[in-house]
Amino acid sequence: MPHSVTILFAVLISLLAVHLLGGLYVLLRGCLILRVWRREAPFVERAAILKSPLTPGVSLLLAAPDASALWHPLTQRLLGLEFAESEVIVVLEDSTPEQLQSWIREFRLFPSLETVTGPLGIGGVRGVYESSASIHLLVVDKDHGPPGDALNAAVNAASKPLLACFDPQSEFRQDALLRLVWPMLEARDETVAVVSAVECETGASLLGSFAEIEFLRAWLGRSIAFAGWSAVLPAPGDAVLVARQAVIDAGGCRGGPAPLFAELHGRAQAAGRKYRIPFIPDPLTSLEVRDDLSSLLRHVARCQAWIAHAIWHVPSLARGWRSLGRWGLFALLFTRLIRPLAETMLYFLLVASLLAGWMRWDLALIVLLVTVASGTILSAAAVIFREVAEYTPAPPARLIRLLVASLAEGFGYRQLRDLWMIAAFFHSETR
Amino acid sequence: MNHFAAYLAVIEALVIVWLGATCLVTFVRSVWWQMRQKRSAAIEPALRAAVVDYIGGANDFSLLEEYVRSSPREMAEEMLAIRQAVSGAALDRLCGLTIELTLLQRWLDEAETRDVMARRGAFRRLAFVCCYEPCRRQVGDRLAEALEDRDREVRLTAAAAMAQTGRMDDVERVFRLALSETLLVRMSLAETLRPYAYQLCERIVPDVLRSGDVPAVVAALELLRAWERALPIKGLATLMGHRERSVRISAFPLAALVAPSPEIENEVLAGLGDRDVEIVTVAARTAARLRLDKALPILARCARTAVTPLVQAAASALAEMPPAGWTTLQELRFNPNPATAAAAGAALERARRKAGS
Repeated sequence: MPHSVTILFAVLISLLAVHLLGGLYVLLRGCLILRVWRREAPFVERAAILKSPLTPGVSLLLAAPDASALWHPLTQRLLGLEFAESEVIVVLEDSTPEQLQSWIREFRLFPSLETVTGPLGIGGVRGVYESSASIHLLVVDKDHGPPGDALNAAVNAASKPLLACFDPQSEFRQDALLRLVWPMLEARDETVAVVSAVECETGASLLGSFAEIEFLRAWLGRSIAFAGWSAVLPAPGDAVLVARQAVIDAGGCRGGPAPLFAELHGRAQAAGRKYRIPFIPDPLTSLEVRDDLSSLLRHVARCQAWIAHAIWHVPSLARGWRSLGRWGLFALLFTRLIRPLAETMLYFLLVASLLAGWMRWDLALIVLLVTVASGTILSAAAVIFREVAEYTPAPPARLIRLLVASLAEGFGYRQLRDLWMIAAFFHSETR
Repeated sequence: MNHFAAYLAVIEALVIVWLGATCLVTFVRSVWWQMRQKRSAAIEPALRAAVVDYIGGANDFSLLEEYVRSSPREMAEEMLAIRQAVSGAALDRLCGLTIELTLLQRWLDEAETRDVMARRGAFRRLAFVCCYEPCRRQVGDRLAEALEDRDREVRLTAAAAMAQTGRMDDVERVFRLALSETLLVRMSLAETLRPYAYQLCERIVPDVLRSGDVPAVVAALELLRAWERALPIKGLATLMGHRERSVRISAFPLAALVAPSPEIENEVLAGLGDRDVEIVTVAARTAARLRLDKALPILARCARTAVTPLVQAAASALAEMPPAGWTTLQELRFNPNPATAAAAGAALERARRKAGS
């Protein structure tokens, strides 16, 4: 075998070893943190929060991906959330007269004298509408703007000190806001934002189990362990609550929640003040991932795009690569881009070496198994560590199903997922 | 290259062994847990029937004693569940049963354990029996001691149980605990303390408000606000003009809950002229709630400033003060400052709509 190929093999295998050990460390840390959180699980006092005049008001923001009537049910559900003092602000971009009429009819809207001028610069606003019914709904109709412009318009229009955002694709519990606001009430001055977990709604098939493991790894690692390092970023489906003033100080949204949260972390760290962005491990929202391959890969690509947004926006962040602590963004870049690239290259190199006769087939098989096992170990570790951390164990059947799935995903699915992740990472830049 | 692959294989083998062992343990735990759940579900109807029989007047302990020996946890949970549905003599009988079956002593022992989960469970159970005097005597000072517990949930459970007793000394201790806790806990304890709000305002609140301990004063003001009741708060006007910003912000909303006085009105007017935007905002809301006509010129001046939050707060306050406030807003609609004109127009529209609906 040529010397350069040997070195390349060594580098790629070393990268996988680093990823395996690093991943295990992160999952183990997530497990230990979760164990502590579960022991300190706060009491449930929903009624007190609902009734108390001390509970701060919340503006629920919805930047509708399009102005169609498809978003009416979601708006209705947002209006139905249990909370004492809340308002819903919907921003429509580039709506047609027919679409706008459908909103006016559905929510009995009429033109408002309210303005959306505020601390954040936004594109042209065509009109502001208020609901004539006794519901607190404000609809902002505006021209199409750059990514984040719609959310910035909603921030400007918001009149409450806290802003809540739900993923338009997720389902959420009616009492989600009551739970989401707890950390803000526990440490008002320190809490900049709150992120809550999302639950995967899927079938018990093999592909459904793959999706469940995908969520489990992200939940224990990227959410809980990172929260322990004050470096949590929201993932697709998560519900977020953030102080309005913090968003304004951070210069508003710039293409998705991940860059905003990276900026919030970075600014708070740069200011040297005590701050926290807690993660609520209990799922307040759920995201449906149908147990077919295209739906699963679409979810993978969406997760990847969220993280890639944060990485692509690094030059515009106040603390650059150090926004998520010293290693946070590097770790994300490593796990989301470098690791899939390394693993994919290793497979290609393996095939090329076999075809060129540089490597014996038995050695190639060992390298292949070792590569496949590294991913399987991480998936199985996520399943097992969750069991260790939780006080209430999962049913044995579910445990077996997930362990079998973590073994099976190494044979085909993960390789496909890697390709998808690489493509989604670079595709997100062009969005 | 062989070496690298071999090293990785060794690492993986070690990790697999470790994970395999952990997996085995978690699997056994999962099976055990499921079996326990099934057993609890199976025994539950018989347990409930036995306890209900006893509450209904049966005096045969033998079956209950057998259940306590075999399933003490299930027995305790069942009694807690039944507690929600009974009162009066039946509740006394249910609580008395915990003494007869030595469950109370068992829970008192568990309350001493270092295991926080077991301790929480024990105090939850002790809290339920404390409404019955003989049980309360046996529990003694354990609840008061639990107010110092490291675990927040234990502290809260003990506080709720102490407040149940209705003894003002205990209630005052709970009030003092509420002052040192987070806002979330305070909101929860405010509900527990609400029935004693008036007595607390007569006895302990004045001392706290005079103490000069700023966090405690702010916490006490928050509790008073959470009660949302007309209360005798002595020295509120002084607190509205306090040197500490946080005290002032917490004191202003209470002005609407006390008897009106010239001192309070003067403080509201002074607050409207403050440099701090947040103070002016809360003062504007207070002026609106008090329908303070004297504040109209200052509110109109605030609405003409260039500070957006101030403009909106002043416009909202004016909208709540018809007819003079509405007249002012009508004039402000034609103000050359577009932010003022827009805020005045929107507030007036909203107020009219609200009045019309």
